[in-house]
Amino acid sequence: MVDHDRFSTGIVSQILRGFGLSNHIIIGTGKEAKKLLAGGRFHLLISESLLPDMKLADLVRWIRRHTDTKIRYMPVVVLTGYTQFSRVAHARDAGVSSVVRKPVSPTTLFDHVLYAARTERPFIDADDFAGPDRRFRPHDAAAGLNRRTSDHAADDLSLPPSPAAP
Amino acid sequence: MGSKCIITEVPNRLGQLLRKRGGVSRGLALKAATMNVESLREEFVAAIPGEIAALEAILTAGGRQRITGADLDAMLRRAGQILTLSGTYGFDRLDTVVKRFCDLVMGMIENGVEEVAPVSVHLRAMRLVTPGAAEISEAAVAQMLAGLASVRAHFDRAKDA
Repeated sequence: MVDHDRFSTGIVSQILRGFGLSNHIIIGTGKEAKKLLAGGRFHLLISESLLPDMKLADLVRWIRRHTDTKIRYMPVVVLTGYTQFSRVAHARDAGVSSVVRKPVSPTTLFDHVLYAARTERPFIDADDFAGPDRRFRPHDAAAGLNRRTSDHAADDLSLPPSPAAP
Repeated sequence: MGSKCIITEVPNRLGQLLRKRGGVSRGLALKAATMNVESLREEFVAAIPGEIAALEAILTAGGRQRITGADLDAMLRRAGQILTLSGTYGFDRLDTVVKRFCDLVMGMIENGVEEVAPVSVHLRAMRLVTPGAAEISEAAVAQMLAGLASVRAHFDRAKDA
């Protein structure tokens, strides 16, 4: 987890412990994150959107273009504060898996971690984007004629079911 | 030449990890997590007055008459920590006042306003609703929030003028 807010890291750390995810590391900067990720084996990155030493988008781009696929395909969950919530588009464009508004509750974090774990999203590697496919709703990938929602009023446009409880 | 786009089906390593035998149910995990967060309540709530004091220290450093954008930015980061605490531990009044503070400061940064007074008023309001402060009525809180709104409106009008 990358965050310089000691209260946020304390709370998220206790939430993760409650989930049984005790084996986690908390650091404060993007530089430390790069160093640790490059030398370790991690399954998930949780990062604050506002890093003290670099733009989150730059850290995420580094991850998404990394030659080691264990790093490149790693889910990245971003926590964003009240003042940053409207400014996270750049992080989404850089390839994060999901964005969670602070303060994070156990239920919200559980659902996002489980979603990251249970959802098989293809990885898109394009000139201007590398990251999980953002069209994760099955009806987003409309093709051909009659693409407007109003053309399919009777169709089922519901979202995919939430991950079931284990 | 067209741009390339490679789509790869990737192994979900986190999913593989969580599918291993053992572990706990969702209900137990959430219950344990909630209890763990509660275990921090006393320590973290006690830290709130210190966080407000840190904001005040930024504002009053050097007996200044004006405040820079960099200092306002530092105050926003610090205020975010208070919001983490007020939101997690259910201090709704404090949460509201700190969000008003953040709205004000973001507006000041955007418009290059450097006056100390509006920031100072919001910090005093924070003190009034911080945990452990003397209880004040709903009516008094409403009046205070209306006052903060008028301060914000004053600076918005000044910007638009």
